[in-house]
Amino acid sequence: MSDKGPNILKAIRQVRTLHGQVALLLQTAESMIKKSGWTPAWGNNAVSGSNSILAPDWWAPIAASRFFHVAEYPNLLAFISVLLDDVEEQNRLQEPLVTCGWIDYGKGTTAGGNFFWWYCRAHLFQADHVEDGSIFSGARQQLYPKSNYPIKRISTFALPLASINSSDDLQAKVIDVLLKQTESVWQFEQVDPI
Amino acid sequence: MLEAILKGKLSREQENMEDILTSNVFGLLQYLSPEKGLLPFLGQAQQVDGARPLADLPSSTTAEMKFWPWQEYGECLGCEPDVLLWLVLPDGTRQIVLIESKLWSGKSSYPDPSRPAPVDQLAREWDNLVRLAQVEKAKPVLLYVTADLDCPVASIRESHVEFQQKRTRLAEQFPFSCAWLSWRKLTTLWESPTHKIQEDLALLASRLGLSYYGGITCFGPVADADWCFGSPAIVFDWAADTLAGDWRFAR
Repeated sequence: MSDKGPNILKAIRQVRTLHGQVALLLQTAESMIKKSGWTPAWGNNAVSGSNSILAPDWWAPIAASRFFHVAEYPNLLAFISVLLDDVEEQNRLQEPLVTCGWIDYGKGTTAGGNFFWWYCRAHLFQADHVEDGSIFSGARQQLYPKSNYPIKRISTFALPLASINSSDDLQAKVIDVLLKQTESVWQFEQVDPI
Repeated sequence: MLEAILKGKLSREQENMEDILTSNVFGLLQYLSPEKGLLPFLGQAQQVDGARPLADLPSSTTAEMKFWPWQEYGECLGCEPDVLLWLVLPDGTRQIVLIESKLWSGKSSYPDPSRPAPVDQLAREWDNLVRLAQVEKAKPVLLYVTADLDCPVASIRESHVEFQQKRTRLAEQFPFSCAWLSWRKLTTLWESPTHKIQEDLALLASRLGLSYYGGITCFGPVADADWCFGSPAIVFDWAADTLAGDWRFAR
């Protein structure tokens, strides 16, 4: 009997298991960030893709993400995402990443539910980005030059998914950093004369 | 049933039946002495304010369980909790723990302002439990066991509000109280299991996805599956044979 068929099934099931673990990571992240008052901005949604016969590359999710807002910082929308692939440009992603960030809609505005899921991929569009936890920040014109999205800038950081090996890692390397950074950007904005 | 789940013999639908999970977990816990199974598990339960009402039960506490007993006292609406647990402490004091367990679903009923009695599932169960506890001269403890990663605060508060509003006088003596416990605790409860049942309970929870994030573990090497569609190339030939017969549409 040929191994081809069973191997295909095995591969598909491994991917399904991976999805389960990514979901658990995002659920865990959500339970952590909610303790600081952030609330989900996208219902139970986590992925977006295509069911079109013409777009098989988009059948499997390339990213899973959760977006959050908090009354304290109305113009910020935070996100936590796992980037699984990049079908538009494969060299842009060397391995799956956990990436986090905040979308700044500009002083005096309210982020609300006005966002596109692909903002969660912004790290891949930051200039000279690296995936070691360093913070990158790009203006809308730099990240999405052909768009007129109503956002001012997106700040991100990323780490290899395989480096987040426990809930403690997730808290220390991702959530704590995100919360600290959003707090400091907000404080900076309050004194920013621009 | 436990072995069937652990070996993947049941359908996902069967695996995900909360009654089967309840039966397996609490059923198995009956075969362990309380201090090795039930008490450490219950000890993890916490209230919305973080208090752990079952954390300090003495190791010689005895336990007796009844599964799915119908409860209906006075003017309460009836309910069928998953487990009623009688705990007797060494000093003779008693606690009745009403266990409502869920897997992937929420409460079966929610507050209904049009009814005089509490309708919300947890509020209704507390309503019955406190009356039973009065008769039995025992302390009532309501325990909500779910698959959540952290306490379903909104859900519990909703029950709290309905009970306090509809049972004002009873609430003075028995204010609504509900502890929450995650099935996921079964995977971390015993670092070094001393009994096969402890191992099986942890395996059962893991099998059902009731674990905590512990890194990406799933990928192993898979041989290249060199299947591809289109070899040999398929040629669509639209020059189909004409149908035999001389059927035609005619009035």
